[in-house]
Amino acid sequence: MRGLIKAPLAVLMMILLISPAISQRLISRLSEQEISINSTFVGGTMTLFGNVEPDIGSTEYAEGPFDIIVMIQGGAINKVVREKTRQFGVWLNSAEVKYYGAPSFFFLLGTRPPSEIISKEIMAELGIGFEDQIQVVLGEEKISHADFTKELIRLMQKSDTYGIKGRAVSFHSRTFYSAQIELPSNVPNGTYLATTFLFEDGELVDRMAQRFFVRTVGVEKLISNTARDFPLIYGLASVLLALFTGWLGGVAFRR
Amino acid sequence: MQIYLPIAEMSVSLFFLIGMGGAVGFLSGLFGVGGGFLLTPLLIFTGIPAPVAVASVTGTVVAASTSGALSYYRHGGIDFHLALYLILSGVVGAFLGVSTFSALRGAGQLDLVISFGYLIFLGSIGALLVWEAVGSLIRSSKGKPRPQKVPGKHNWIHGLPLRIRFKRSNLYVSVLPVLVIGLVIGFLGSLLGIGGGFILVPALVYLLRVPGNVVIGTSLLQVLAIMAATTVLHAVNSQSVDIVLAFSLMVGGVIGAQFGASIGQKLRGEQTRALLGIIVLLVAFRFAYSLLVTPTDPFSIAVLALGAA
Repeated sequence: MRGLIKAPLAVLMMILLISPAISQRLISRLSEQEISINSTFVGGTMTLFGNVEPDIGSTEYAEGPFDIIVMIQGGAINKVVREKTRQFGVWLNSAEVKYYGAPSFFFLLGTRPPSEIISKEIMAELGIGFEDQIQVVLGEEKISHADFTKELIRLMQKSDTYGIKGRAVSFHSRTFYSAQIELPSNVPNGTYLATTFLFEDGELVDRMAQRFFVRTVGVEKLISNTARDFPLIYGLASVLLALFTGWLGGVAFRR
Repeated sequence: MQIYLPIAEMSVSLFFLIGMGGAVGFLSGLFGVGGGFLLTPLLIFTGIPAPVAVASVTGTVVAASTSGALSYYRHGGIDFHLALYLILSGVVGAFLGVSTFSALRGAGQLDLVISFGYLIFLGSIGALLVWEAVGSLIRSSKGKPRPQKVPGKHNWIHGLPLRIRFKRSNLYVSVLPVLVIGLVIGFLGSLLGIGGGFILVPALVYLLRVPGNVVIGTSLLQVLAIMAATTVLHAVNSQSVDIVLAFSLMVGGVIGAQFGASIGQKLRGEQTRALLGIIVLLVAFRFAYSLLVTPTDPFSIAVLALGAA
Protein backbone atom coordinates (compact mmCIF):
# COMPACT_ATOMS: atom_id res chain seq x y z
CA MET A 1 0.00 0.00 0.00
CA ARG A 2 2.83 2.32 0.88
CA GLY A 3 4.30 2.10 -2.55
CA LEU A 4 1.13 3.37 -4.18
CA ILE A 5 1.14 6.70 -2.43
CA LYS A 6 3.59 9.29 -3.60
CA ALA A 7 6.50 9.54 -1.21
CA PRO A 8 6.13 13.18 -0.07
CA LEU A 9 2.50 12.72 0.77
CA ALA A 10 3.27 9.60 2.70
CA VAL A 11 5.89 11.41 4.71
CA LEU A 12 3.51 14.23 5.42
CA MET A 13 0.91 11.79 6.65
CA MET A 14 3.40 10.10 8.87
CA ILE A 15 4.40 13.39 10.35
CA LEU A 16 0.82 14.30 11.15
CA LEU A 17 -0.20 10.96 12.52
CA ILE A 18 1.32 7.56 12.65
CA SER A 19 -0.20 5.70 9.77
CA PRO A 20 -2.08 2.60 10.91
CA ALA A 21 -0.39 0.63 8.17
CA ILE A 22 2.86 0.96 10.01
CA SER A 23 2.90 -1.32 12.92
CA GLN A 24 6.14 -0.36 14.58
CA ARG A 25 6.77 2.23 17.17
CA LEU A 26 9.77 3.65 18.96
CA ILE A 27 10.53 3.42 22.65
CA SER A 28 13.54 5.43 23.67
CA ARG A 29 15.17 6.72 26.81
CA LEU A 30 18.08 8.94 27.73
CA SER A 31 20.60 7.73 30.27
CA GLU A 32 20.58 11.19 31.84
CA GLN A 33 18.08 13.99 32.13
CA GLU A 34 20.64 16.58 33.05
CA ILE A 35 24.28 17.32 32.34
CA SER A 36 25.83 19.33 35.15
CA ILE A 37 28.62 21.76 34.46
CA ASN A 38 30.88 22.16 37.49
CA SER A 39 34.33 23.66 37.90
CA THR A 40 36.11 20.65 36.42
CA PHE A 41 33.71 20.05 33.52
CA VAL A 42 35.59 18.89 30.42
CA GLY A 43 32.62 17.64 28.43
CA GLY A 44 30.08 14.93 29.02
CA THR A 45 28.53 11.90 27.38
CA MET A 46 25.08 10.42 27.63
CA THR A 47 23.49 7.43 26.03
CA LEU A 48 20.22 7.36 24.19
CA PHE A 49 18.84 3.85 23.88
CA GLY A 50 15.63 2.35 22.69
CA ASN A 51 13.77 -0.41 20.98
CA VAL A 52 11.54 -0.78 17.94
CA GLU A 53 8.35 -2.38 19.20
CA PRO A 54 5.21 -3.67 17.52
CA ASP A 55 2.48 -1.06 17.72
CA ILE A 56 -0.16 -1.38 20.43
CA GLY A 57 -2.67 -4.03 19.39
CA SER A 58 -0.47 -5.29 16.63
CA THR A 59 1.01 -8.75 16.66
CA GLU A 60 3.30 -8.10 13.75
CA TYR A 61 6.91 -8.14 14.89
CA ALA A 62 9.39 -5.60 13.72
CA GLU A 63 11.36 -6.84 10.78
CA GLY A 64 13.85 -4.22 9.80
CA PRO A 65 16.46 -3.51 8.82
CA PHE A 66 15.97 -0.08 10.39
CA ASP A 67 17.93 3.11 10.37
CA ILE A 68 18.03 5.72 13.07
CA ILE A 69 18.85 9.42 12.97
CA VAL A 70 19.07 11.26 16.26
CA MET A 71 18.89 15.04 16.10
CA ILE A 72 20.27 16.99 19.07
CA GLN A 73 19.20 20.63 19.24
CA GLY A 74 20.32 23.23 21.76
CA GLY A 75 18.30 26.31 22.65
CA ALA A 76 17.90 29.08 20.10
CA ILE A 77 20.40 31.94 20.19
CA ASN A 78 21.22 34.92 18.04
CA LYS A 79 24.51 34.89 16.18
CA VAL A 80 26.29 37.28 13.91
CA VAL A 81 28.76 36.22 11.22
CA ARG A 82 31.28 38.81 10.12
CA GLU A 83 33.67 38.89 7.21
CA LYS A 84 36.99 40.67 7.27
CA THR A 85 38.15 42.44 4.14
CA ARG A 86 41.14 44.62 3.47
CA GLN A 87 40.21 48.28 3.54
CA PHE A 88 42.71 51.14 3.57
CA GLY A 89 45.45 48.53 3.96
CA VAL A 90 44.16 46.90 7.15
CA TRP A 91 41.89 43.93 7.69
CA LEU A 92 38.63 44.80 9.34
CA ASN A 93 35.13 43.41 9.73
CA SER A 94 33.16 44.91 6.86
CA ALA A 95 30.14 42.73 6.12
CA GLU A 96 27.87 40.93 8.55
CA VAL A 97 24.76 38.79 8.59
CA LYS A 98 22.69 38.30 11.72
CA TYR A 99 20.98 35.04 12.52
CA TYR A 100 18.04 34.96 14.87
CA GLY A 101 17.00 31.75 16.53
CA ALA A 102 19.71 29.43 15.25
CA PRO A 103 20.28 26.44 17.55
CA SER A 104 23.20 26.97 19.90
CA PHE A 105 24.09 23.31 19.42
CA PHE A 106 23.12 20.95 16.62
CA PHE A 107 24.21 17.40 15.89
CA LEU A 108 22.88 14.65 13.68
CA LEU A 109 23.82 11.13 14.76
CA GLY A 110 23.01 8.23 12.49
CA THR A 111 23.41 4.52 12.03
CA ARG A 112 24.86 5.61 8.69
CA PRO A 113 25.55 9.09 7.30
CA PRO A 114 22.08 10.73 7.02
CA SER A 115 22.53 11.31 3.27
CA GLU A 116 22.74 7.52 2.80
CA ILE A 117 19.65 6.85 4.92
CA ILE A 118 17.18 9.29 3.42
CA SER A 119 16.77 11.37 0.29
CA LYS A 120 17.34 15.10 0.24
CA GLU A 121 13.61 15.69 -0.16
CA ILE A 122 12.69 13.78 3.00
CA MET A 123 15.50 15.49 4.86
CA ALA A 124 14.13 18.88 3.82
CA GLU A 125 10.60 17.93 4.79
CA LEU A 126 11.70 16.79 8.20
CA GLY A 127 13.75 19.99 8.48
CA ILE A 128 16.79 18.29 9.91
CA GLY A 129 19.49 19.70 7.62
CA PHE A 130 21.86 22.43 8.82
CA GLU A 131 20.31 24.97 6.47
CA ASP A 132 16.79 24.15 7.67
CA GLN A 133 17.82 25.03 11.20
CA ILE A 134 19.24 28.42 10.32
CA GLN A 135 16.71 30.47 8.51
CA VAL A 136 15.94 33.83 10.01
CA VAL A 137 18.62 36.17 8.77
CA LEU A 138 19.07 39.87 8.63
CA GLY A 139 21.78 41.53 6.63
CA GLU A 140 22.57 43.86 3.80
CA GLU A 141 20.68 43.14 0.60
CA LYS A 142 23.72 43.04 -1.62
CA ILE A 143 25.57 40.26 0.20
CA SER A 144 24.80 36.62 -0.29
CA HIS A 145 23.24 35.16 2.83
CA ALA A 146 23.83 31.62 1.58
CA ASP A 147 27.60 32.14 1.71
CA PHE A 148 27.40 33.47 5.25
CA THR A 149 25.17 30.58 6.30
CA LYS A 150 27.82 28.18 4.98
CA GLU A 151 30.45 30.01 7.00
CA LEU A 152 28.27 29.95 10.12
CA ILE A 153 27.90 26.18 9.79
CA ARG A 154 31.62 25.76 9.16
CA LEU A 155 32.58 27.88 12.18
CA MET A 156 30.09 26.09 14.41
CA GLN A 157 31.50 22.76 13.24
CA LYS A 158 35.00 24.01 13.97
CA SER A 159 33.98 24.81 17.54
CA ASP A 160 32.39 21.34 17.92
CA THR A 161 28.90 22.74 18.44
CA TYR A 162 27.52 21.65 15.06
CA GLY A 163 28.21 18.36 13.37
CA ILE A 164 27.17 15.11 11.77
CA LYS A 165 28.29 11.74 13.07
CA GLY A 166 27.48 8.97 10.62
CA ARG A 167 28.22 6.00 12.87
CA ALA A 168 27.20 7.14 16.32
CA VAL A 169 24.04 5.02 16.52
CA SER A 170 24.29 1.25 16.50
CA PHE A 171 21.83 -1.62 16.56
CA HIS A 172 22.69 -4.33 19.06
CA SER A 173 19.93 -6.63 17.85
CA ARG A 174 17.37 -6.31 15.08
CA THR A 175 15.40 -3.82 17.15
CA PHE A 176 17.53 -2.59 20.07
CA TYR A 177 19.73 0.42 19.46
CA SER A 178 21.83 2.92 21.37
CA ALA A 179 23.41 6.25 20.52
CA GLN A 180 26.34 7.90 22.18
CA ILE A 181 25.77 11.65 22.64
CA GLU A 182 29.00 13.52 23.27
CA LEU A 183 28.86 17.05 24.59
CA PRO A 184 32.07 19.11 24.36
CA SER A 185 33.39 21.27 27.20
CA ASN A 186 32.07 24.43 25.51
CA VAL A 187 28.51 23.05 25.29
CA PRO A 188 26.07 25.95 25.78
CA ASN A 189 23.71 25.95 28.75
CA GLY A 190 20.06 25.41 28.08
CA THR A 191 17.26 23.02 27.28
CA TYR A 192 18.05 20.44 24.64
CA LEU A 193 15.84 18.34 22.46
CA ALA A 194 16.91 14.88 21.30
CA THR A 195 14.60 13.68 18.53
CA THR A 196 14.94 10.11 17.32
CA PHE A 197 13.74 9.32 13.80
CA LEU A 198 13.16 5.71 12.82
CA PHE A 199 13.46 4.88 9.13
CA GLU A 200 12.78 1.76 7.15
CA ASP A 201 13.81 1.69 3.49
CA GLY A 202 14.37 5.43 3.56
CA GLU A 203 10.88 6.20 4.87
CA LEU A 204 9.97 7.59 8.24
CA VAL A 205 8.31 5.06 10.51
CA ASP A 206 8.15 6.83 13.82
CA ARG A 207 9.75 9.61 15.80
CA MET A 208 10.16 10.41 19.44
CA ALA A 209 11.49 13.52 21.17
CA GLN A 210 13.06 13.86 24.59
CA ARG A 211 14.26 16.84 26.55
CA PHE A 212 17.40 17.12 28.57
CA PHE A 213 19.13 19.99 30.29
CA VAL A 214 22.66 21.32 30.35
CA ARG A 215 23.16 23.44 33.43
CA THR A 216 25.92 24.89 35.47
CA VAL A 217 25.67 23.76 39.09
CA GLY A 218 27.16 24.77 42.42
CA VAL A 219 29.56 27.70 42.54
CA GLU A 220 29.58 28.11 38.75
CA LYS A 221 25.80 28.43 38.72
CA LEU A 222 25.93 30.95 41.53
CA ILE A 223 28.57 32.95 39.65
CA SER A 224 26.81 33.03 36.29
CA ASN A 225 23.41 33.73 37.85
CA THR A 226 24.76 36.55 40.00
CA ALA A 227 26.59 38.05 37.02
CA ARG A 228 23.35 38.07 35.06
CA ASP A 229 20.78 38.96 37.73
CA PHE A 230 22.74 41.15 40.13
CA PRO A 231 25.50 42.67 37.98
CA LEU A 232 26.21 45.53 40.40
CA ILE A 233 26.71 43.22 43.36
CA TYR A 234 28.77 40.90 41.17
CA GLY A 235 31.00 43.78 40.07
CA LEU A 236 31.49 45.03 43.63
CA ALA A 237 32.25 41.49 44.84
CA SER A 238 34.85 41.08 42.07
CA VAL A 239 36.53 44.30 43.15
CA LEU A 240 36.50 43.28 46.83
CA LEU A 241 38.02 39.91 45.94
CA ALA A 242 40.74 41.66 43.93
CA LEU A 243 41.47 44.13 46.75
CA PHE A 244 41.65 41.30 49.27
CA THR A 245 43.92 39.16 47.07
CA GLY A 246 46.22 42.11 46.44
CA TRP A 247 46.33 43.01 50.14
CA LEU A 248 46.95 39.39 51.15
CA GLY A 249 49.75 39.09 48.61
CA GLY A 250 51.32 42.28 49.93
CA VAL A 251 51.12 41.07 53.54
CA ALA A 252 52.28 37.51 52.85
CA PHE A 253 55.38 38.58 50.96
CA ARG A 254 56.20 41.63 53.01
CA ARG A 255 59.87 41.70 53.70
CA MET B 1 43.78 20.35 35.58
CA GLN B 2 41.00 22.00 33.63
CA ILE B 3 38.85 24.69 35.16
CA TYR B 4 35.52 25.85 33.80
CA LEU B 5 35.14 29.60 33.29
CA PRO B 6 31.46 30.34 33.97
CA ILE B 7 31.26 33.62 32.02
CA ALA B 8 33.50 32.71 29.11
CA GLU B 9 31.61 29.34 29.06
CA MET B 10 34.71 27.35 28.26
CA SER B 11 37.27 25.32 30.16
CA VAL B 12 40.95 26.18 30.31
CA SER B 13 43.92 24.65 32.10
CA LEU B 14 44.16 26.15 35.58
CA PHE B 15 47.96 25.82 35.64
CA PHE B 16 48.16 27.61 32.32
CA LEU B 17 46.17 30.55 33.73
CA ILE B 18 48.15 30.74 36.97
CA GLY B 19 51.39 30.33 35.03
CA MET B 20 50.47 33.12 32.63
CA GLY B 21 49.39 35.34 35.52
CA GLY B 22 52.68 34.51 37.26
CA ALA B 23 54.83 35.26 34.21
CA VAL B 24 53.10 38.58 33.57
CA GLY B 25 53.15 39.34 37.31
CA PHE B 26 56.91 38.69 37.32
CA LEU B 27 57.41 41.17 34.49
CA SER B 28 55.12 43.73 36.10
CA GLY B 29 57.03 43.44 39.38
CA LEU B 30 60.30 43.70 37.49
CA PHE B 31 59.31 46.83 35.59
CA GLY B 32 56.86 48.35 38.04
CA VAL B 33 53.95 48.33 35.61
CA GLY B 34 50.46 46.87 35.95
CA GLY B 35 50.84 44.15 33.34
CA GLY B 36 47.37 44.57 31.88
CA PHE B 37 48.81 45.51 28.52
CA LEU B 38 50.47 42.06 28.33
CA LEU B 39 47.73 39.98 29.95
CA THR B 40 44.82 41.18 27.79
CA PRO B 41 46.50 40.39 24.45
CA LEU B 42 47.81 37.05 25.74
CA LEU B 43 44.29 36.02 26.75
CA ILE B 44 42.87 37.15 23.40
CA PHE B 45 45.56 35.22 21.50
CA THR B 46 44.78 32.07 23.52
CA GLY B 47 41.14 32.16 22.47
CA ILE B 48 39.33 33.88 25.37
CA PRO B 49 36.67 36.14 23.82
CA ALA B 50 38.01 39.72 23.67
CA PRO B 51 35.21 41.27 25.79
CA VAL B 52 35.73 38.72 28.57
CA ALA B 53 39.51 39.13 28.41
CA VAL B 54 39.39 42.93 28.67
CA ALA B 55 36.79 42.98 31.45
CA SER B 56 38.43 40.26 33.54
CA VAL B 57 41.93 41.71 33.27
CA THR B 58 40.66 44.98 34.79
CA GLY B 59 39.84 42.95 37.91
CA THR B 60 43.31 41.40 37.86
CA VAL B 61 44.95 44.83 37.58
CA VAL B 62 43.06 45.93 40.72
CA ALA B 63 44.75 43.12 42.68
CA ALA B 64 48.15 43.84 41.16
CA SER B 65 47.93 47.56 42.01
CA THR B 66 46.64 47.00 45.55
CA SER B 67 49.78 45.51 47.07
CA GLY B 68 51.93 48.16 45.38
CA ALA B 69 49.69 51.04 46.40
CA LEU B 70 49.60 49.78 50.01
CA SER B 71 53.36 49.63 50.22
CA TYR B 72 53.69 53.20 48.86
CA TYR B 73 50.98 54.33 51.26
CA ARG B 74 52.96 53.00 54.23
CA HIS B 75 55.99 55.01 53.08
CA GLY B 76 53.90 58.14 52.51
CA GLY B 77 54.38 58.00 48.75
CA ILE B 78 50.86 59.02 47.73
CA ASP B 79 49.50 62.51 47.09
CA PHE B 80 45.85 61.94 47.98
CA HIS B 81 44.81 65.43 46.96
CA LEU B 82 46.22 65.00 43.46
CA ALA B 83 44.91 61.41 43.26
CA LEU B 84 41.39 62.63 44.10
CA TYR B 85 41.29 64.92 41.04
CA LEU B 86 42.81 62.23 38.81
CA ILE B 87 40.31 59.64 40.04
CA LEU B 88 37.24 61.90 39.71
CA SER B 89 37.92 62.65 36.06
CA GLY B 90 39.23 59.13 35.54
CA VAL B 91 35.90 57.61 36.56
CA VAL B 92 34.16 59.84 34.00
CA GLY B 93 36.70 58.65 31.41
CA ALA B 94 36.08 55.03 32.42
CA PHE B 95 32.35 55.55 32.00
CA LEU B 96 32.90 56.89 28.47
CA GLY B 97 35.35 54.07 27.75
CA VAL B 98 32.94 51.33 28.81
CA SER B 99 30.09 52.89 26.76
CA THR B 100 32.39 53.09 23.73
CA PHE B 101 33.41 49.49 24.41
CA SER B 102 29.78 48.31 24.30
CA ALA B 103 28.97 50.34 21.19
CA LEU B 104 32.02 48.99 19.34
CA ARG B 105 31.25 45.46 20.42
CA GLY B 106 27.74 45.77 18.99
CA ALA B 107 29.09 47.15 15.74
CA GLY B 108 31.65 44.35 15.44
CA GLN B 109 34.61 46.72 15.48
CA LEU B 110 35.86 46.14 19.03
CA ASP B 111 38.75 43.91 17.96
CA LEU B 112 39.84 46.45 15.38
CA VAL B 113 39.87 49.34 17.84
CA ILE B 114 41.66 47.25 20.48
CA SER B 115 44.29 46.26 17.89
CA PHE B 116 44.75 49.86 16.74
CA GLY B 117 44.79 51.19 20.30
CA TYR B 118 47.49 48.73 21.32
CA LEU B 119 49.46 49.34 18.16
CA ILE B 120 49.50 53.12 18.61
CA PHE B 121 50.04 53.32 22.38
CA LEU B 122 52.35 50.36 22.86
CA GLY B 123 54.22 51.20 19.67
CA SER B 124 54.96 54.77 20.68
CA ILE B 125 55.68 54.04 24.36
CA GLY B 126 57.87 51.05 23.44
CA ALA B 127 59.83 53.03 20.87
CA LEU B 128 60.31 55.86 23.37
CA LEU B 129 61.55 53.52 26.10
CA VAL B 130 64.01 51.75 23.80
CA TRP B 131 65.21 55.03 22.30
CA GLU B 132 65.84 56.58 25.70
CA ALA B 133 67.47 53.47 27.17
CA VAL B 134 69.74 52.90 24.17
CA GLY B 135 70.75 56.56 24.26
CA SER B 136 71.72 56.47 27.89
CA LEU B 137 73.53 53.13 27.52
CA ILE B 138 75.63 54.56 24.65
CA ARG B 139 76.40 57.65 26.67
CA SER B 140 77.49 55.65 29.71
CA SER B 141 79.67 53.32 27.60
CA LYS B 142 81.46 56.36 26.16
CA GLY B 143 82.24 57.35 29.69
CA LYS B 144 80.43 60.65 29.45
CA PRO B 145 78.51 61.71 32.52
CA ARG B 146 74.78 61.23 32.11
CA PRO B 147 73.08 64.53 31.55
CA GLN B 148 71.14 64.97 34.74
CA LYS B 149 67.66 65.85 33.57
CA VAL B 150 66.43 68.58 35.80
CA PRO B 151 63.13 69.58 34.27
CA GLY B 152 62.34 73.21 34.74
CA LYS B 153 59.75 73.85 37.38
CA HIS B 154 57.50 75.55 34.87
CA ASN B 155 56.24 74.97 31.35
CA TRP B 156 53.23 76.20 29.37
CA ILE B 157 50.90 73.96 31.39
CA HIS B 158 51.75 75.87 34.52
CA GLY B 159 50.40 79.03 32.95
CA LEU B 160 46.83 77.69 32.74
CA PRO B 161 44.11 79.14 34.99
CA LEU B 162 42.28 77.50 37.95
CA ARG B 163 45.44 76.71 39.83
CA ILE B 164 45.37 74.54 42.92
CA ARG B 165 48.08 73.87 45.46
CA PHE B 166 49.00 70.19 45.93
CA LYS B 167 51.03 70.20 49.14
CA ARG B 168 52.36 66.65 49.10
CA SER B 169 53.69 67.05 45.55
CA ASN B 170 54.84 70.59 46.25
CA LEU B 171 52.96 71.78 43.18
CA TYR B 172 50.86 74.82 42.37
CA VAL B 173 49.29 73.90 39.07
CA SER B 174 46.11 74.35 37.05
CA VAL B 175 43.46 71.72 37.70
CA LEU B 176 42.65 71.43 33.97
CA PRO B 177 45.63 69.32 32.82
CA VAL B 178 45.17 67.09 35.89
CA LEU B 179 41.55 66.43 34.95
CA VAL B 180 42.40 65.87 31.27
CA ILE B 181 45.14 63.36 32.14
CA GLY B 182 42.78 61.48 34.47
CA LEU B 183 40.05 61.45 31.84
CA VAL B 184 42.31 60.14 29.06
CA ILE B 185 43.81 57.39 31.24
CA GLY B 186 40.35 56.34 32.46
CA PHE B 187 39.05 56.20 28.90
CA LEU B 188 41.98 54.25 27.44
CA GLY B 189 42.28 51.96 30.42
CA SER B 190 38.66 50.85 30.34
CA LEU B 191 38.56 50.57 26.55
CA LEU B 192 41.78 48.59 26.17
CA GLY B 193 41.84 46.64 29.44
CA ILE B 194 45.08 48.18 30.63
CA GLY B 195 45.87 50.01 33.85
CA GLY B 196 47.57 52.77 31.95
CA GLY B 197 50.32 53.28 34.51
CA PHE B 198 52.96 53.31 31.79
CA ILE B 199 51.22 56.28 30.17
CA LEU B 200 50.22 57.99 33.43
CA VAL B 201 53.67 58.05 35.05
CA PRO B 202 55.42 59.84 32.14
CA ALA B 203 52.45 62.25 31.87
CA LEU B 204 52.66 63.15 35.58
CA VAL B 205 56.44 63.53 35.46
CA TYR B 206 56.88 65.42 32.20
CA LEU B 207 53.67 67.45 32.04
CA LEU B 208 52.91 68.23 35.67
CA ARG B 209 56.41 67.86 37.14
CA VAL B 210 55.17 65.62 39.93
CA PRO B 211 58.22 64.69 42.04
CA GLY B 212 59.59 61.14 41.85
CA ASN B 213 58.86 60.20 45.46
CA VAL B 214 55.08 60.42 45.02
CA VAL B 215 54.56 59.79 41.30
CA ILE B 216 54.50 55.95 41.39
CA GLY B 217 52.30 55.70 44.49
CA THR B 218 49.82 58.28 43.22
CA SER B 219 49.71 56.64 39.81
CA LEU B 220 49.12 53.21 41.41
CA LEU B 221 46.24 54.58 43.46
CA GLN B 222 44.66 56.16 40.39
CA VAL B 223 45.04 52.95 38.38
CA LEU B 224 43.60 50.96 41.27
CA ALA B 225 40.55 53.20 41.60
CA ILE B 226 39.90 53.46 37.86
CA MET B 227 40.25 49.72 37.30
CA ALA B 228 37.94 49.03 40.25
CA ALA B 229 35.33 51.38 38.76
CA THR B 230 35.84 49.85 35.31
CA THR B 231 35.36 46.32 36.67
CA VAL B 232 32.00 47.34 38.14
CA LEU B 233 31.01 49.18 34.95
CA HIS B 234 31.91 46.18 32.76
CA ALA B 235 30.02 43.86 35.11
CA VAL B 236 26.90 46.04 34.92
CA ASN B 237 27.17 46.96 31.26
CA SER B 238 28.23 43.78 29.49
CA GLN B 239 28.30 41.07 32.19
CA SER B 240 31.64 39.96 30.82
CA VAL B 241 33.74 39.92 34.01
CA ASP B 242 34.77 36.30 34.61
CA ILE B 243 35.63 36.17 38.29
CA VAL B 244 37.16 32.67 38.05
CA LEU B 245 39.43 33.79 35.23
CA ALA B 246 40.35 37.02 37.03
CA PHE B 247 41.05 35.24 40.31
CA SER B 248 43.26 32.56 38.70
CA LEU B 249 45.27 35.28 36.99
CA MET B 250 45.59 37.45 40.11
CA VAL B 251 46.81 34.55 42.27
CA GLY B 252 49.62 33.92 39.78
CA GLY B 253 50.18 37.63 39.31
CA VAL B 254 50.52 38.53 42.98
CA ILE B 255 53.09 35.76 43.54
CA GLY B 256 54.99 36.48 40.32
CA ALA B 257 55.16 40.19 41.09
CA GLN B 258 57.06 39.57 44.35
CA PHE B 259 59.83 37.67 42.57
CA GLY B 260 59.92 40.21 39.78
CA ALA B 261 60.27 43.09 42.21
CA SER B 262 63.20 41.51 44.07
CA ILE B 263 65.07 40.83 40.80
CA GLY B 264 64.19 44.25 39.47
CA GLN B 265 66.13 45.89 42.29
CA LYS B 266 69.32 44.19 41.08
CA LEU B 267 69.03 45.41 37.50
CA ARG B 268 70.06 48.84 36.27
CA GLY B 269 67.33 51.29 35.36
CA GLU B 270 68.36 51.58 31.70
CA GLN B 271 68.47 47.82 31.29
CA THR B 272 65.00 47.26 32.69
CA ARG B 273 63.61 50.12 30.63
CA ALA B 274 65.19 48.75 27.45
CA LEU B 275 63.78 45.28 28.23
CA LEU B 276 60.34 46.68 28.94
CA GLY B 277 60.51 48.71 25.73
CA ILE B 278 61.36 45.60 23.70
CA ILE B 279 58.49 43.59 25.21
CA VAL B 280 56.04 46.46 24.65
CA LEU B 281 57.21 46.76 21.03
CA LEU B 282 56.80 43.00 20.47
CA VAL B 283 53.18 43.16 21.61
CA ALA B 284 52.61 46.16 19.33
CA PHE B 285 54.14 44.26 16.38
CA ARG B 286 51.88 41.31 17.07
CA PHE B 287 48.87 43.60 16.72
CA ALA B 288 50.29 45.20 13.58
CA TYR B 289 50.70 41.70 12.17
CA SER B 290 47.05 40.82 12.83
CA LEU B 291 45.93 44.02 11.14
CA LEU B 292 48.13 43.83 8.07
CA VAL B 293 48.57 40.17 7.22
CA THR B 294 45.80 38.28 5.43
CA PRO B 295 43.91 36.38 8.14
CA THR B 296 43.78 32.60 7.79
CA ASP B 297 40.03 32.83 8.34
CA PRO B 298 38.33 36.06 7.27
CA PHE B 299 35.06 34.93 8.82
CA SER B 300 34.27 35.15 12.51
CA ILE B 301 31.25 34.46 14.62
CA ALA B 302 29.90 36.16 17.72
CA VAL B 303 26.90 35.77 19.96
CA LEU B 304 24.48 38.60 19.43
CA ALA B 305 23.25 40.17 22.64
CA LEU B 306 19.52 39.75 23.15
CA GLY B 307 17.53 42.67 21.94
CA ALA B 308 20.37 44.05 19.80
CA ALA B 309 19.31 44.67 16.24
